[in-house]
Amino acid sequence: MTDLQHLDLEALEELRDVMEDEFQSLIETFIVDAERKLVAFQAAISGANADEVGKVSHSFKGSCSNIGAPLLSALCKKSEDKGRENDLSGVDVIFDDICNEYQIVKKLLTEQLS
Amino acid sequence: MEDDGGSLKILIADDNETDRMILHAIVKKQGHAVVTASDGVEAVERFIEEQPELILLDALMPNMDGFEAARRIKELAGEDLVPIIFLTSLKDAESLAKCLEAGGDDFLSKPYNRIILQAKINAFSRMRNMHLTMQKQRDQIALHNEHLLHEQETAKAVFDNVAHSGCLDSPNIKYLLSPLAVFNGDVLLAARKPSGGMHVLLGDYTGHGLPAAIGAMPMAEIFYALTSKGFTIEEIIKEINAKLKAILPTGVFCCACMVDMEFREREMKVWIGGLPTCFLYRSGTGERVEIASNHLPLGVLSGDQFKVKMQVFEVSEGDRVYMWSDGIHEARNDQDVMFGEERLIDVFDRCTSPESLFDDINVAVEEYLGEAERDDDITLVEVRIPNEREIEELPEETIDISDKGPMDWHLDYRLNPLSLKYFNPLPFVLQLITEVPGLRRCSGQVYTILAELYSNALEHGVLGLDSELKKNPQGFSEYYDLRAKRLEGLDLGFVNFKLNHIPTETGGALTVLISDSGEGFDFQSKLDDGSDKQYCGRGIPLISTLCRSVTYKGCGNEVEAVFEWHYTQTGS
Repeated sequence: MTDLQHLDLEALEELRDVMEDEFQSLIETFIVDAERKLVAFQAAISGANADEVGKVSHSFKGSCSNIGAPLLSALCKKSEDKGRENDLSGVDVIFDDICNEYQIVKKLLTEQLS
Repeated sequence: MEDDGGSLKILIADDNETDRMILHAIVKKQGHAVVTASDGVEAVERFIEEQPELILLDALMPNMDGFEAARRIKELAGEDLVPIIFLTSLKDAESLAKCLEAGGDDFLSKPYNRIILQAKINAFSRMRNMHLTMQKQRDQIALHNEHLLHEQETAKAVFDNVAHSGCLDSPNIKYLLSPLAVFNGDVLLAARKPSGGMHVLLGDYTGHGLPAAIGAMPMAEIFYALTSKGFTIEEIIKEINAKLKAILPTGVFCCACMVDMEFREREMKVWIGGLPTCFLYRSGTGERVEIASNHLPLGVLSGDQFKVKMQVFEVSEGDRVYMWSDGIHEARNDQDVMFGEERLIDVFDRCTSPESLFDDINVAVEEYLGEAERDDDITLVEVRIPNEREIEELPEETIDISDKGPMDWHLDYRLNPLSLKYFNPLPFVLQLITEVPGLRRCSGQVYTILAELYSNALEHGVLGLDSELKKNPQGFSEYYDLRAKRLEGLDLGFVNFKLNHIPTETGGALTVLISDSGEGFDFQSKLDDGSDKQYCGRGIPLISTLCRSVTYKGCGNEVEAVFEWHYTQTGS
């Protein structure tokens, strides 16, 4: 897992190229959306709702991969699998990892904007 | 990259706002218009409102997932091609298969690769264009086909009016003919002659469809018009050939067989060109006489090269003649082997009852074809020589009666050698006589009288032929050969018609006086003899039953027949 990057700069460059003026808006939207998803994630774990854990993980995984955050995406894949297997043991640990990794990605992304 | 499909309107349905933004940006950059939706319900709504041409659809969405949305959209799109590309990070085969089952056409996995996305959009755009072209062409073909069918229906209606059914429904005729046979090039015509006999014509035009049907119309028109006016089979076949030669393009012609049946005289003439050998089946002996084609088809030779030479047969009551187009011979079984003439001959050889021959042939072909596909272009006709009673009962052509016309008149009409050689006066004379109002209904009887007396005057009088010759089958053809030869060499002689019509209280009286340049015959001694033998050959007994009187005059080269008719008299 450690060989995956926090941020794929190459992919990010491409995004910048595609989005042009909207690049900043995209990053901001990602951050707002990510935080909303993490809240929903937390609620799903508290409610022991494996199905919801799987769905939120799947959705977050998709946007992480598109924004160029491969490690975060891979962590989401782990919790998605757990949710699908209806086995929430250890999901709280994965969730902590996701939150930590998100903070790193958020910091790096914000740096990209300045 | 050049966009080869033009600008499309593309619907992007994804619940992730960032994913939507990225796709939107990529697609817009490629020059397409974008419509977005954030879940399945919205996607279906946008589809209905905006009619996008391509859809990028996320598989997992709230409210309604992509699978259900795809199903609904495909249903709404009907036969239009609206490609759906599923956006998914699902990787397992089962999930991907589910996308396709729901109506998806392709996948795009996250993270999005814009090069691949562009290639896919272009590929589907091409496919969509092809589909549109195909739909347009299909609609065009359907329209053309409908148009063609309509034209064929119209053409068939016109043909049916021209060809009507003649006397094909007579009890002595059995036939098999597809309702659309005229478009297979097959034509079957039958008509009563004024003399009471019958003309039957089977034609098979080259080709199919309208080109094959086009010649059938003038053919039918000539056949019916000339037959009803009393023209001979030779004149009719010649006229049809000339017409077809004039109107048909090179390579289109008509294989044909025409028979002329003179029921009372038990004589049959056949002209056959290009059709498979016809059979004459003699019911009495079970003998099968082959009548092979000895002419080129109609519409090939120009008038001066065209031969009208007939094959002449003496026939008996119950004898049957069979004509067919090559449909029977070429009918193929499931091994693709043709029915052929041998199997046809076999049916005749095995025949136990002439009555069932026609059905036997059909059954044999049916059994032979078995499960093989039917072409439906089998045309077959059987014409039987009817007995006396049936001849009386055969339906006559119905004819209008005009009110005003010549009632009292006289005509003196003399035919000299050139006219005798090249001209048949009977249609003209009959036409003239039937101008008399009411007499037209008796045209059959009048024609019989005229035809008998004229042929007696010409053949026995002017040409000096002996009717004894016709008493046996060999003599028949000898008689006709001799007739042709003597007519060819004729340079002296005449036949004279003196016609007189007067009105009577109930109708009218027609006096026909025919004289010829021949030596005549000793009618007086024949009368004293009390024997009708001599007269027999001259068809006089028949005429006597039709006329008030038949009297020979002079040295026997003059004969007077008086025919009386009445307004109340029926056609027969």
